[in-house]
Amino acid sequence: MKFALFPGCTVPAQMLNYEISAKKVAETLGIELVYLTDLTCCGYPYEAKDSFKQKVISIRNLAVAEKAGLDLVTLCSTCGSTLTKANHLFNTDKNYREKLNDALKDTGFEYHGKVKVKHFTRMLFEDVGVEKLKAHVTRSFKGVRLAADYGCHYVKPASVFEGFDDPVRPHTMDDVIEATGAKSVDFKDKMACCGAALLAVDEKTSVAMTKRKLDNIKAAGADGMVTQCPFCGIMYDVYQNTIGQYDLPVLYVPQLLGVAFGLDPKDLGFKVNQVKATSLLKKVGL
Amino acid sequence: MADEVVFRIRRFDPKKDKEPRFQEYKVQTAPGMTVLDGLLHIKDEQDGTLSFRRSCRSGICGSCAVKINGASRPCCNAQIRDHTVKGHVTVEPLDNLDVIKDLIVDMAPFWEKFKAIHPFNESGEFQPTGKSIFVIGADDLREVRKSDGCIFCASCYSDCEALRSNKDYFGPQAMVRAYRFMRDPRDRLGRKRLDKLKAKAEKGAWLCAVCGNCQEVCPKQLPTLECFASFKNIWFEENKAPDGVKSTAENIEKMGRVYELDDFAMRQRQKAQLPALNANNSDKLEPILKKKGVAK
Repeated sequence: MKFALFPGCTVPAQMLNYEISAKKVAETLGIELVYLTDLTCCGYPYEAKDSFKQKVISIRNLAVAEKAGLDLVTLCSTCGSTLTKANHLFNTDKNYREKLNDALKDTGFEYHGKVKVKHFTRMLFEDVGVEKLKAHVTRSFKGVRLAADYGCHYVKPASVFEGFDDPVRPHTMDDVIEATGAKSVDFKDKMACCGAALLAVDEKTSVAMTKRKLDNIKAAGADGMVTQCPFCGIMYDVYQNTIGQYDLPVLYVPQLLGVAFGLDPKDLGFKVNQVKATSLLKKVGL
Repeated sequence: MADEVVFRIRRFDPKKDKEPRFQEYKVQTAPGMTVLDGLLHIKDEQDGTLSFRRSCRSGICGSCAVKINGASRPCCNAQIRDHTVKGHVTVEPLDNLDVIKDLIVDMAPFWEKFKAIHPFNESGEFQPTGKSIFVIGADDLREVRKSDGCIFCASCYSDCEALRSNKDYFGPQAMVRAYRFMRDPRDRLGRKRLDKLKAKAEKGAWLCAVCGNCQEVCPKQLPTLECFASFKNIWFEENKAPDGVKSTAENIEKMGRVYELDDFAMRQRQKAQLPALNANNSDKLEPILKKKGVAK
C-alpha cells in the first residue's frame, strides 16, 4: 500500500510526535508514505480571507498528488476535511469545477478529480482494517481506559464525507483504539470541540472549551486521552498544565498503536508529549 | 407488530427538583411513529405532567426541537425506528438555553439575538409606486433562497460549541438570517447589518469555532459555514479581521504554510529522521494568491 502523506502545517512544525509515530506505524504495517515537496498548506485558514482562493489552494494540492498517481493521507483532521470538501465540490459541481481549474492554470497543474483523501485513522480503519491491526498487537492495553477525541473535522461536514462514519456518534476511531485491547470510554459531550479555531480570536472562550472537555474526560475516569488532530493536541496536551492539574496523557492514534505493536516509546516521539505518559505506559508494563 | 421502546426523558421541574433527572417510559411503537408521537402518547396515556412544546407536527413550525440521542432536531419528523439505540430513545431539552420545565426551554436569548440583526428587509427610500415592482434576478434569488428557509427551531443554537463557553456569541441562527437579508437586493441596509452583528458581540462571526455542528443539525440543511465564511471575507476586505487571523493568512502568503519551519524545526526533523520539507512554499501559491477579482 502506498499513499502520499499530507503533512500539513502544524504537524511538521510542532507535533513531530504525531509524524514520527505515524511513519513508524505505517512501516510496521507495510504502508509506504511518500513525501511530495510540492504540497503546501491545505488552505483552511485562508478561507477567512478568500474562500474561493482557499479552494484553489486545496485543489492544487490534490493535483500534486494526482500527478504523482497517489491518494492522499492526512494527519490533521482539518486538512482532511478541507481537502475532502474541495474535492467533493470539484466532483459534484460542474461550474465550480471549471472555475477551479481555470484559477489553477497559472500554477502549472490541472486536476481531474481522481485523488481520494483520507485521514490517517480512516486509512487504518478502511484500508488496513481493525482485524489486521489486532493481529499486530503484541503489547495489549487490556484494562486501560482511554478517551477518544475525534476532532470536529474528522467527520464534518458529513455531506462531503459521503457516508463515512456518523457525525454525531462516530465509531471508527473507537474501533481503532479498541484494537489495542483498551476500552474506549464514554464521556459527556464526547464530540465537543477543543476550541482551537478561536485561539487567535478569543483565547478565553477557546480555553474554556478545552477545559470543559478535559473536565468531562477526567470525570469519566479515563487513564488517558487519544487524539488524531494536531490542533486538538496543542489544546489538550500543550495547554493542559496551564488550564489545570489533570495529569491526563494525550497520545496520538499512531503513538498508541506503536506501543501496542511492541515498538519502543522512544521511537514514537513520546519526548515531544508535554504531559508525560509514564503512568499510562506503566499500565502496559513499560 | 408493535415494538416496545424505552423513552429516556430528561425531566426537570424547578419548583420541585434540585437537579434534572432521567425518567423512563415504555412505549409500544408502530411503524411510522415519530418521536413526537411517542411523547404525545406518554403525555396522554402515562404521565400528564410531562411538558414539551409542539404545534404543526409537520416539520414546519420548528417548535418541537429537542435533543434526541445527543443531537438537536425537531422531533415531529424523527422516526422512532431511526432513533432507537439498543432499545432506547434519549430525549433531552435543547442546550445553551435555560430549562423552564422538562423539555421546554426559555427561548428569550435566542429571539433577542435574532431581533438584534434587524431581521427584515429595510426598504429605505425605495417605494414601489404604480406599475413599478422590484424584480429579483435569478442569481440573486438563488443566493437568497440558499440561506433562507430557517424554521427557528434553535437546533443549531443548541448544538453550537462556541456558545457553550461564550453566551455573548450570536450563534448560527442569527448569523445565517443576517446573511440572508444581506444577500437580498431589495434590502437597503446591506453591509451595515454586519455592524449590528458587531455591536452586539464585538468579534461577530469570528467567535464561531467552526466545529460544523450547526450545519449538521439544521433540518433545512442551510449552508451555515459558507455564510460565516462570506462574512469573514467581507470583514477581511474591510480590514476588520482580528490580528491573529490576519497574520495566519499573511503567513500562508509569505511561506505557503501557517507555521515557520525554522532552522530549529529543520534540525528536529533531521534528528527524528524525518524527510526535509521546503521551508518556503510561497512560490507555489503565488500564481493563485496574486490573482485579483477571481470569480467567487
